[in-house]
Amino acid sequence: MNANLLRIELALLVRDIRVRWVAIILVLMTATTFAVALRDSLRFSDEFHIVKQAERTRWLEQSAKDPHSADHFGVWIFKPFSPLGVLDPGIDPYVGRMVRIEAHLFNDAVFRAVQDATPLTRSGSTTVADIMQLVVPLLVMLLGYSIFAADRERGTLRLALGSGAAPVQWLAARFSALFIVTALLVSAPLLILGAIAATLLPDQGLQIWPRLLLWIITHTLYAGIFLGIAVVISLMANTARAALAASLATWVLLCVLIPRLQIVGIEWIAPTPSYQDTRAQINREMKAYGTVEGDAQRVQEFLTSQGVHAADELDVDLRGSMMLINERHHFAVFDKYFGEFFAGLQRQDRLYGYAGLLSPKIALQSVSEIFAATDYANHTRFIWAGEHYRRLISETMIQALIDNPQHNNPQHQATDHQPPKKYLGDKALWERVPPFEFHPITASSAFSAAAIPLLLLLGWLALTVIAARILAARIRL
Amino acid sequence: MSSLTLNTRVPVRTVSGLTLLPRMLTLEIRLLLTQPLTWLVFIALWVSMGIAAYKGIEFVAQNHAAAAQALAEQQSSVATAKAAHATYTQPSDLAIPMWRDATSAYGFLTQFLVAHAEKPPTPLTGIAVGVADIQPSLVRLSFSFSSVFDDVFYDIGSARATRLGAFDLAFVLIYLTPLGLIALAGTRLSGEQDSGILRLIAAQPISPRLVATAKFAAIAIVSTIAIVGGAALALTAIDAVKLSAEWAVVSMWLSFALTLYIVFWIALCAFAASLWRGAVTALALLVVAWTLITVVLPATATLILEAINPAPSRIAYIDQSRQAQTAFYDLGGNTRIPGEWLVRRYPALASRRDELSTTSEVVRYARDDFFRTSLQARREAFAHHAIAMAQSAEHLSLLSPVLVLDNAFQTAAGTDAHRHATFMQAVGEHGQAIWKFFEPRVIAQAANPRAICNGCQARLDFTAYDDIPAFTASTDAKRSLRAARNGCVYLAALCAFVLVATGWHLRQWPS
Repeated sequence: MNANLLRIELALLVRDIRVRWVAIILVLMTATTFAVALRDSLRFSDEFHIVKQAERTRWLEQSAKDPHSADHFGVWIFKPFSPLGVLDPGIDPYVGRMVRIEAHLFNDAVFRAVQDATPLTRSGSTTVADIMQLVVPLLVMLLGYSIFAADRERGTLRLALGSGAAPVQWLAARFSALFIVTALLVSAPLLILGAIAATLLPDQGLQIWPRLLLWIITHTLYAGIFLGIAVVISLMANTARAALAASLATWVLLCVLIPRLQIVGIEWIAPTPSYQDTRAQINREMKAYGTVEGDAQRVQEFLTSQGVHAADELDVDLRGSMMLINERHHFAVFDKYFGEFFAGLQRQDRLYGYAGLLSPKIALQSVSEIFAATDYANHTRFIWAGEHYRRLISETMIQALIDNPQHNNPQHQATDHQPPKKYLGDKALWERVPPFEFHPITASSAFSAAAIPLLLLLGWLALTVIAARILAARIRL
Repeated sequence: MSSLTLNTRVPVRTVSGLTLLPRMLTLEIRLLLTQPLTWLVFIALWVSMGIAAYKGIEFVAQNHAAAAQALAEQQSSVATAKAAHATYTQPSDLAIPMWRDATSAYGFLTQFLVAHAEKPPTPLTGIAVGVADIQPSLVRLSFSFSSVFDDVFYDIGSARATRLGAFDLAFVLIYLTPLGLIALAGTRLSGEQDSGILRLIAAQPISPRLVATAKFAAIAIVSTIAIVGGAALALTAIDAVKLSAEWAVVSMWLSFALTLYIVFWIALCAFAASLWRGAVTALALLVVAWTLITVVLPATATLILEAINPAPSRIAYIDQSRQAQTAFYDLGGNTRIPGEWLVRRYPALASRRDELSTTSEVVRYARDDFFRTSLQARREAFAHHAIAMAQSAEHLSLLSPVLVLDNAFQTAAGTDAHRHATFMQAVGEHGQAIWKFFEPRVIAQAANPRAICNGCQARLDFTAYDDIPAFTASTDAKRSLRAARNGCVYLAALCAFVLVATGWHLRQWPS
């Protein structure tokens, strides 16, 4: 590439009023949406932290009680905020981030931010990612559509090529200059905003800096793809008007129409599993299992398995033992139906990654959510982490009951003066349950998960560069 | 370089517009209909409307299926209880704990009762998903221990699809149609200006207003027929053939609103042309205008709305609910508070306070009453916030015609935020009504447990399954009509404003 040409093109661009307008619009839009998102994240993150600690204290300081009552008292657990969620909240606003952990129930995650958001939220672009994914391509195409077409229309292309400049070199210089400017316009504000978020919000074990850098690089690549498309169109069009019309049509197609249409297609290929059906199936199975007759039969089977005829002969507590049997049945039911449900959703989510073949915006959305740790995989991981924690509490409480049988402990027997004392759990038992810690997907695993959409993004970029190279080589005086 | 200079200072002697306009209009319409771009745009829009109508049909069908499944679950729970009655009226050795006993009021209420509240779809639900994909239309009422919010129930579904938004008729008409209109009308006049044809036209004794009127009115007529007609066909496909008279009127006003929306965008195209800056600038301006109106202004409205109506904290609410839970036992939840509750609610049982205040039934009712009272202020704050947010959103939607039309469509579809907020209030009240319905029955059983037969283990004290309060909600066509009418007035005013500005610009040919 000719360095002089690049310098000249850069100088021309710096003086271009359109570049200044694009810079102003981008900075204004991203800064405003970022400020609002950061304010909310800081508030919620602080509140989560305080309530998380309060919950732990409440659990440890609860009065002595039947361990099963403690299991019902339960705790609330919270999905930590990803600092990059300020840039791209991903699916987080549409799924809950706090779960009530209690006996018997696989509770839904609640507190979906979108529930309390304004009804207008989804009409506009209200996140930095929305602006980067929808508005930036438009601005980039408005910058790039005239790169060759305007010169061709004015006749200056003939003049330039007549002076001996090789078309490919000229293209390389112009494209590079535009790309440098675009990269600066995109990455500089993102780096500043991302750094603010990463500094002010806790890392949560997400390895936030490599994620942030990858996030910025992919968004810069994305802008580069649309720049490449604008250049290709500009090389093909005879007039600036035709180039603009084609660029805008491409933007509408790739950024507005196809992303929504792909939902219809994916829903057709892999329909979203019904949550209502899943819950109904679980309820049916639970009801069929939880009958008086079923209970009596299971008690009998348990006594037989222990080689005794009555509960009094057992070394363990019958009530606790039956609870454990019942809970393990419930765990298996949850594993089966919720396992199928979440696997179905994850299958569908993977298809969204492949749909990046249809539009770079779709590919970027997948990559962006994964790097921001606001993707579906992280949410599912949290849901199951919560469920495993719930099982840990239930099993710990039940085991305490089993180990302290009511019938053969002298302390618990009735006397002439007192009714039988019930076994009660105390702080020593509550302390056996560790605090809930969520370990999100690591940055390296996230990178692997993003491989397909990332490759598709690179494919889009390669395609535009190759097309531009071929078209530039064909330019004749 | 030679150029034809148009003298704009000297008034042009023009031929009567009234004579020429019909002929020019006919000519322009013919010309428009012969252009491949016209058909390309309309076919793309029709296909989109077809897909959206299909999705609308699917959405309505899903609503009905969900309601049918909910009803089946409700009937199944009652059938289970009736079967238990039949089984347990015989003496038995089986011990039946309360939580397995569907024949008792308390057991049925807390363990078996399945109750739903449905926000019924309107006849026009298929046109706009609105908030229905994030706020449930069907709420399962929970009487278990863990119900903190009334609105925790939701269908997880595909969060990615929810985030991207539905491909519904409202999306096609509100977001895609303007782009199609820009493609059709965005370079009219300005394209002719670039190609030099405008000079030839301007050389004729004809006013720029007349030329612009003919060109843009032709597009408006053809587009209105194509788009409103396409939308009407799509509506018919969804459900419109079953419209009652009042919903037919709503549909008519929505058609007016859509027509005015089409006129607004064509007027904007005319305005862009009237600046006489050429096709490239006109196109760029129009796409920037589209971005401003559909993306930036709604985002601004959202930010303003969030600033003036900050949401109460759900996390703080959770914290307070847990404090109430702890406080209940710290303040004497085992006997004192249930005893006080019993005396307050059932003075006739005051003499048996010590005996009854430890029963699980009294403790449970007293505890829920304690929780509800402790959290009342926060619950009301959430309800008020939802209503205030929906009302403010309606006012702020005046910032953009996109929001006004979207609001009209959503209100007609019954998927708007305001309806949902009032629905959730009704759901909360309905839950309380069921709770109160059972209360005297549950307390009566706790106070006077009686066996039906010697050796009968089940409580067998509840059979009033058909008397359990049912949730009733209606579809209100009046609000939909008002929203559609207001939308028409707003869009008409906007059209008038843009047309006047365009007319002022078009008083003379460019120099």
